[in-house]
Amino acid sequence: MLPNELRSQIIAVVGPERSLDSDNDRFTYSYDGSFVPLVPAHLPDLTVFPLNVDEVAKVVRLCNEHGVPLVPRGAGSGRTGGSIPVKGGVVLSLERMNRILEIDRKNMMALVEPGVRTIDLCKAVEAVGLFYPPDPSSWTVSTMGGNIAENAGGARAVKYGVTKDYVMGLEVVLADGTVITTGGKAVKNVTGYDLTHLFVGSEGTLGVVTKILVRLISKPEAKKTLLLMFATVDDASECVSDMLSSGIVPASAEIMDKTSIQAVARFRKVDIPAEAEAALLIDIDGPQKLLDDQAVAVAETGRRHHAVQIREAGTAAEADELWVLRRTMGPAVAAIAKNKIGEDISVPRAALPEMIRRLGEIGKKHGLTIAVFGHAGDGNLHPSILTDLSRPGARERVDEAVAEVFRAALDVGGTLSGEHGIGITKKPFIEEALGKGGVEALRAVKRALDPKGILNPGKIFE
Amino acid sequence: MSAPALAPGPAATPRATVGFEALMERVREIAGQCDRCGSCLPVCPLFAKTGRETATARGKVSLIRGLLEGGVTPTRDLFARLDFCLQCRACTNACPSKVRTGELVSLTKGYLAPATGRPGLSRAIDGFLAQPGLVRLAGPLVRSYARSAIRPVIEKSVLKPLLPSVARMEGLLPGRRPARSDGANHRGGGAGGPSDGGRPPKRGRLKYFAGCMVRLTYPEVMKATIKTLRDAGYEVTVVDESCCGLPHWSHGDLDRARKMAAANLDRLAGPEIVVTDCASCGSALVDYREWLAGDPEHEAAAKELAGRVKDVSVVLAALEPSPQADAQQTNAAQAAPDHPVKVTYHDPCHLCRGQGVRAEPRQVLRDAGYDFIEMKGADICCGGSGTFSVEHYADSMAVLEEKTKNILATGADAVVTSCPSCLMQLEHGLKRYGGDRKVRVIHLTEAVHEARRAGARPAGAGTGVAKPAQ
Ligand SMILES: Cc1cc2nc3c(=O)[nH]c(=O)nc-3n(C[C@H](O)[C@H](O)[C@H](O)COP(=O)(O)OP(=O)(O)OC[C@H]3O[C@@H](n4cnc5c(N)ncnc54)[C@H](O)[C@@H]3O)c2cc1C
Repeated sequence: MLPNELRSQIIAVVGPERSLDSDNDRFTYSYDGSFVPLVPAHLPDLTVFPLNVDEVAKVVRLCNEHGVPLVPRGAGSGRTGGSIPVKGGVVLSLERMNRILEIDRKNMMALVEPGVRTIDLCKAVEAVGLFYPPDPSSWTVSTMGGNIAENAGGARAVKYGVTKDYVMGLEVVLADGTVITTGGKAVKNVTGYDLTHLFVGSEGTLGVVTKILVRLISKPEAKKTLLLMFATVDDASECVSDMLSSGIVPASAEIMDKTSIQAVARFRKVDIPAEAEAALLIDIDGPQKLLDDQAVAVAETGRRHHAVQIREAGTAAEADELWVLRRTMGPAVAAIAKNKIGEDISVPRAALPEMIRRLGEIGKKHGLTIAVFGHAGDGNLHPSILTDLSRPGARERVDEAVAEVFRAALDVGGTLSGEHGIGITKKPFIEEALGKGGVEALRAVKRALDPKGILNPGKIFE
Repeated sequence: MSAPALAPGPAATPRATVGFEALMERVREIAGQCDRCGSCLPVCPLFAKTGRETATARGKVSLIRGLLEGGVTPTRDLFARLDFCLQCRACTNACPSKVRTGELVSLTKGYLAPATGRPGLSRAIDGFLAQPGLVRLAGPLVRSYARSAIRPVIEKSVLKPLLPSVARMEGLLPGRRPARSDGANHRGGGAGGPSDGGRPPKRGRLKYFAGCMVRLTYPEVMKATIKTLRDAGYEVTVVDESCCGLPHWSHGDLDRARKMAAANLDRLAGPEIVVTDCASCGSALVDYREWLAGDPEHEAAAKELAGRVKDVSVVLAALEPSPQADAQQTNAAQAAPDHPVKVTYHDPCHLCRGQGVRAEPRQVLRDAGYDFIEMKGADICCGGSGTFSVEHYADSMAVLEEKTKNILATGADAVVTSCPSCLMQLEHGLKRYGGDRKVRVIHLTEAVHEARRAGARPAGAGTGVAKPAQ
């Protein structure tokens, strides 16, 4: 519980208009986009919406003085419980710090506040001929602060990399309220430790990000979208592997199995040949004059792997529609079952076909449907276990299957999380992934920057 | 590949909600489909203005799920949170799984109401609207209040401070709008013919469901609708003695809404197409199949009715455009100096998302010879939403201000829409935020009717001749 005096002091910083502490308001800041159950609820004592770094610093300092937990929050679209206030305290929502402060065309960089939605940045820079590639499927919702904190990836990662590849500098409020600036517009910078990238992927446990400087690239001249259908998931995954190793670099290469496609098809018109069991959604981009050759190469690779249908989007609208289909896949898959346990494993590209085969075996062994879709091009898959946890024995079978999925991923040289982070849902497995020493090193960093442990406690590790 | 806006796919098949068990099962089912991905956040007009999670569909669905699972208590405040909604359905439209938040919220309110009670204003209005006799008696009063005859009296009277909601509503009711349609007598049903030109060929019979708000506040719209349909050659029967029940349904007064729906099923029985010029009534009539699902006596009739309900724009758009549309526009400008040549269109939520009608009103305006300009965010809610604009005036205005800016930015002479609730709200917006710009707010059928009159064309013009039989 928040002492009354502290509560009043914090509310005084942001004003009562931007503070919420009624029961129903608190409930709606107790969850995120993960499958962590809503009840028992992890209620915050108070949610505040600062508008600038000064307010953030003051709130953080007050919490630190009193040893009260403080949880930074973006849009709450996280998939691992990152912004759930498991220890109560104050939820600090950065949603209303949502200005694009600068688009510097000469240096090709943008400076934004953390509450800017990913898609808004993408659109704003594209309007001036520039390109910010990281595009998590949640981009209409997710904030840049959340993207930094989770080191978000997206469909375009296969060619363009993930959030960390674009972050040049940050403004961060540390646990004691100190405001620091890391990095900057100089492209090369070896001035002390690379603090910028220490905060990328830190899940709100090391500091509150209040400004973000990202680098931009030129917008590719043209783009083509292709949809390839296969009679087996194996054919589809072998096709991606082959494509990449033969030197074709698609901008995106997404895989989806039949269960996932059918989930989306409940709400949208999707034309799929009867024999199709899997699909690849491929984007290629670059100079117009090279695209046609690339499209031919993609199609040829598809045919080599027995594609049963190959389609090219005829118009931009058709391409957009195909992408909406892919981006809404996660939630659509969730809606077909009582419970969906969605994972985010990431394996070396060459191990993708092997990993997908193993997922099939794990599902069969435990009698569970595992829908598979994901960013195949970079080996990042979202296997989703579909079940009804209220059935007797279901919980145990799912737990076993999840453990086997992680083990298989580690086995083929991969890891627990490609882009969603550890949060609370993957905490039990982190030692297996990093080893005792690895986790201890994380703890040491945490202790150094947040000695009282007020920032997003209970996340990543105990 | 196309994305139907809220096409009633397999997931939208009406499910039984009559009776407590069925209701709770349906609530559980809808609430269970939400993945909390947040796709509804960026499209919620109230979230854009308040930044509060409880305003969003994700917030509401989660509260309801919390209620089911024992983490949220059934309080007046909970009811109020669920009530804080424009019912614009932007959330469902953006939702990857098309979670039916509107239905879920209404059902949950129905479940909560006996314990928590309902807000006084919606209770009073629902009670009033449920009594056709009272509504008819009060009609002239409401109308003259709205049209400013007795408004100055109330404004100055001692009553005003005593009736805060009326006082606030007063600002929302339209001021005097000059009646432009010539007076086709709307009472007396079928056989009335066009008042100008010869009698066009008969096209068949229609039932026109005239909702409360059109009757009470916009009788000239009612006249224009009837006139336009008759001029086009339809025989029109007016059904104007009842409320569609939507206010009751959305306030959680489910039993009363169902009773009203059942009574309307009787009134609307028959083979005729049922036409509406109120987007909200139209979507309610279509949704009766949901309200009454599980009621063995009525569900079949409700399903059947849903297939017969058409917005007036859909009926008009099915007519061939006039070959003289261009000439007519020129005529129009000369005939009436303030005749709106440049028009824009505001999509009522209950028409574009509620009934999937977007193209037809635009086509009708173009066919009538107007210079049509699309506005930014045409399908974003205007913030009216029945009693919402009175109960949450400030929030409603925040939404309306942006809408008004978008209207003004088009430079149009008039904004056309097809829902009386939107008409009222937009009129208020232009008065409040329009500065000295004169932009008229008119219903689609008024626009069509005016174009015909200004073009001095024989009856049936503008949306002209019959399409050849297919
Ligand atoms: C349908 C769907 C699809 C998704 N697809 C992808 C995908 O393709 N790729 C991908 O990478 N992720 C994806 N995600 C996961 C999620 O959207 C990302 O993790 C996103 O970065 C979270 O952003 P947010 O603003 O919602 O953050 P939140 O969920 O609010 O928070 C996430 C974490 O960031 C911390 N945080 C937030 N803001 C700050 C700040 N300013 N300073 C410090 N810490 C902060 C929080 O404490 C928390 O630990 C998807 C999620 C959904 C629901």
